[in-house]
Amino acid sequence: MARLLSGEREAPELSLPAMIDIVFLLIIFFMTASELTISHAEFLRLPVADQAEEQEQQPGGWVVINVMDDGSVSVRGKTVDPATLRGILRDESALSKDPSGAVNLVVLIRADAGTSTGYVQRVMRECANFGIYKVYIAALKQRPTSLGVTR
Amino acid sequence: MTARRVEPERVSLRLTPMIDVVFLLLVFFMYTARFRTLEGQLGVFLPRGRASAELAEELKKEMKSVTLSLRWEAGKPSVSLEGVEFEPTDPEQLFGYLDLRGAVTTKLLRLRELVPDSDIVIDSSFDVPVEYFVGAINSCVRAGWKKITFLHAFDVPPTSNLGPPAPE
Repeated sequence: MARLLSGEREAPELSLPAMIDIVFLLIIFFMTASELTISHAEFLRLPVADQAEEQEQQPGGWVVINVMDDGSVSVRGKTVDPATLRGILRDESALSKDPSGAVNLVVLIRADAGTSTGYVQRVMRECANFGIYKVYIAALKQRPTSLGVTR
Repeated sequence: MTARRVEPERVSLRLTPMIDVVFLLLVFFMYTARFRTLEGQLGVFLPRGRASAELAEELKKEMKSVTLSLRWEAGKPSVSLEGVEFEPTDPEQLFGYLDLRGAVTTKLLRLRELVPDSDIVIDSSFDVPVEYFVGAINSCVRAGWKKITFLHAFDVPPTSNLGPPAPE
């Protein structure tokens, strides 16, 4: 009161504990909400399909094949040529065989919306050559907004 | 001689470097954050033991299939469904992602009522963009077609010169 009466101004004070609380909360939010490394998923402009179903766990495992805009194929973060792709599919399909000899491997094709369908069809053909008949095509269930978040 | 009393040094938390580091972490996570988008899958089951084209021909002969053709000519898609041509400007107009007003979907629903036990054969040329191909599958699934066959899935001829060169 005396200070107010004397006309002295109170120095503004930064409340550090509150700020640190908020900053830590933000860090925890970004750490948990972000995906730092996705080894299988490339940055692609996926096509939109409202009938696309949620991903399910597959007992025989997944192989994710990315078909880029220019038609190149990428598996596990590496661009592969057709011979390497065949090698991967051959090895993975052999590993996923059950005692009856049936291939339980599932292939997910993530293709850029702008790439040619022929490149996707070639991947499908390679899958069929190794007895992989369960193939899924990745699509966004809703059109993405400019922020990359679906609406 | 009197013993000098040693005052223990006060332990203090140095806030300034900690805040620096915390802000750096915050900026790092903000820049590298990539939020998960709602990604789904359209199931495609490839025919076992025989070529897709062979199966498509067989179905056609037995009148058990409806053919949806996708072509890409002069940078534009052209879609025909059992002789009916569609010339859309964008996949949304053609396939109607968010409702049932898509031209192809409406036609597919009518065909589904007329020939309920038939398969659908998607005959897409090499250079059709994937968004139209996926749009076509999506329309078929939405209209209730479960058995979808691809005419060129196994026997891919690079049918057009408009697309990028084939990787092989």
